[in-house]
Amino acid sequence: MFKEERKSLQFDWSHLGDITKGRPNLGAQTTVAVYRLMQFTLRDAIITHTDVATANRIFYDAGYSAGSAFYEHLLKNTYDFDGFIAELQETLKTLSIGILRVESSDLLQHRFVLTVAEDLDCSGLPMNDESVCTFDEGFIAALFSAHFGMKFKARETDCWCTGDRVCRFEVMPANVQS
Amino acid sequence: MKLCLQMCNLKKNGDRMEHKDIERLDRISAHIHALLHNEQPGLLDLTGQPEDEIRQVGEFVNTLTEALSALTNAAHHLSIGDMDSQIIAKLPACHHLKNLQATLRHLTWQTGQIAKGDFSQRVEFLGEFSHSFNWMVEQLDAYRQRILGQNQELERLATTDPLTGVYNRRYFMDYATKEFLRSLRYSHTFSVIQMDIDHFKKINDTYGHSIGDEVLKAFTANCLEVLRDCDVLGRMGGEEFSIILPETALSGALIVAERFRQAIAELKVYVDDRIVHFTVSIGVTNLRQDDAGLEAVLRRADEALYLAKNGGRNKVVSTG
Repeated sequence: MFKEERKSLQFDWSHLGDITKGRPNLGAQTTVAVYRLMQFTLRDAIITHTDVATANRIFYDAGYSAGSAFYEHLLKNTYDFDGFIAELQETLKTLSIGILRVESSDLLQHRFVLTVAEDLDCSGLPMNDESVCTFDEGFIAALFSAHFGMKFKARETDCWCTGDRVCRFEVMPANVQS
Repeated sequence: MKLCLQMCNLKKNGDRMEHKDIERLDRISAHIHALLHNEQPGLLDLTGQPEDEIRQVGEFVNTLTEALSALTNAAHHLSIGDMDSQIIAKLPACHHLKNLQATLRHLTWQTGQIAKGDFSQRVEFLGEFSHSFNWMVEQLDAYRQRILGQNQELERLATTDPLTGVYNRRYFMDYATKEFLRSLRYSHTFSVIQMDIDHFKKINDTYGHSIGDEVLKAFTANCLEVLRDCDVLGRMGGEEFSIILPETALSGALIVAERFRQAIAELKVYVDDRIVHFTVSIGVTNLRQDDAGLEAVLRRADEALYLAKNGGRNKVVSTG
């Protein structure tokens, strides 16, 4: 399940296990620092063993896989865009992932600009002129793909690490030239 | 700045500084003074200056000038509602302006959503502004609901008979016209039932108009129990009522009419210690493909009703 060789992503929500059962005393919560410790050491190791481009692809794909499972298991799969955004905002806030806001939405062209404040991945990181939320890019792309039933891509255009105070993502159909 | 002050001290002491260095420091001091006094002095011209500490201070001051210029520019654009300007963050203050810019962009989107009728939009994490904005949206939504409710009530008053609650003549004729055109266009049919309560004037004269009103209400209530949701019952005036039965052939309409007649004949309207019995005469017809207009259909139904009246009342007559 977790250590088999594979050529395609095989993550399933069931792989998260029964946390309540497994942690009857410590509970299901931990801190942002622990999450980032995992993510950034992982990124560090992947880049060391491969390269930056490969690490970005890995994080994007992982985020996409997570976003697909997230949509399937945690959102009501409403067909209405406004309802989808409202539910997503509430869920991301409840889970302390970030504060999602919409800057623009074009339902005809399927192009959107979103911001995430207090992003779990990057808010408070040192400024280094790098957009680091690659996992989030894949995550958001998957959410929109699942909602609209067509493939989307997402690109982070602003990040805490580039000096902004929110992370800004452009979301569009995957076959569109960005 | 520390270096600048050190050199100023040297200058005060008056020795070990060359005149040109003092001039350079003076220009830097004047530039900083201009910055602090809200002027926009541009950048220091360091061309041809040696690569020494004074030049370094000048370069720092130029960097600060550029950053302050970006900050001023960003603040200006935001203050006039321009949310598309690029804010190049070189100072922490610019970061906060970028945050504000993102917030304003999102607020712009939200107000657009509200204008489109989405009153679920709420603002969070903006202190007193959140409270005011959210309260405004709630009030707008409540006001909208009130207006909708009032419009619905006005619509109801304009289309229904105040006594019986069934549709009034105007609404009935509008509906019948549309049904006529629809049926002709798609080669469908509909039927019309015309009803007139027998000896209604006598009921009013014998028992009084208030009891006459109760009779009318009991009559329509009974009719509505028999009718489908798509059927339309209208009060045409006084004790006259009409019904449109869409997608119904004459045979079906006759069954409905006979059911009415029987139910009304058996109906007892209790008023105080009295029981009022009454009957109804009914004329029935259906749409013919050669009908020139709705009037032709209604005229045929009226003729059938006339025959029912003249044939002894408490009767159903059809002209198909």
